[in-house]
Amino acid sequence: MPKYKIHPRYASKKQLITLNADSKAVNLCGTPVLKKYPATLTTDEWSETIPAATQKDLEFVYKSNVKDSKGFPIVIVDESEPPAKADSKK
Amino acid sequence: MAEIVDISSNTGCDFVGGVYLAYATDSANITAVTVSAGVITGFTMSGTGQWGKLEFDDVNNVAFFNETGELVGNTVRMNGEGLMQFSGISQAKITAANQAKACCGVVVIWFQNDGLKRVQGIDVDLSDNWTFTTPTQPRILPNLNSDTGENEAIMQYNVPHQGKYASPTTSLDGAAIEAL
Repeated sequence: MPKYKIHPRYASKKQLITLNADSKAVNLCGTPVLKKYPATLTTDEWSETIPAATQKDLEFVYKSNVKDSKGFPIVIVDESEPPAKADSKK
Repeated sequence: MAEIVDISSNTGCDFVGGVYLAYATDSANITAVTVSAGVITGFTMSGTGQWGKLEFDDVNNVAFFNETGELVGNTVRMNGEGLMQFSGISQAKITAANQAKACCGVVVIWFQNDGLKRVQGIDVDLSDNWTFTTPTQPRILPNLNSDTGENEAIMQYNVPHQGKYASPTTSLDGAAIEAL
């Protein structure tokens, strides 16, 4: 199973918020984010936590071909992770 | 690929015009866009809660988002213009207008009365590559009119742009945009 990560050109970002396969917001940068909603005429101020993206979310973003305005991918395969070894039975 | 694609006439008669709602953000907030078969299916934002929801007061049906092609030399440009209207003027609206006009470029998602959602400010080519619209990104030009005693005071946002391609649609609904 390949592993996925955000491209190093975005490594300094604290937040990259996108929707996963279930249309739920996730933070591709790997940390949960507190999202605050201001009070309106009918509701009080409230907040919710946007979770960090899982490997499944990163895989979805990678396979969705998400690119920045220069055409570069946001999520790439993590080449630093050794691929899972094949069955070594002889 | 350059070709003329068949377009059949419609059989129905329910093709209402107009727009009733928009979401807008400073284009600098958009880090990435997902495109599939010409349709924008996702945005990656540099933070949370960066899309402003703009609900029109439009009993007179003046709001629109129109695009007109123009031949410039041997190039076809798409000139777009949107208009949204809000009843009444307040300091909160004046402050909002000043903040909106300070954005050097915006992306606006227009919700049409026929159900289509158009994205102004992003060019998508025939290979699903995207850029912010060139040569001119949309900007918000506010009007704040007291008008006369016979009418109501209004604030309007005019949003012109010029792009290479007709503005694409998006599959995102209001809940998905607000989740970002």
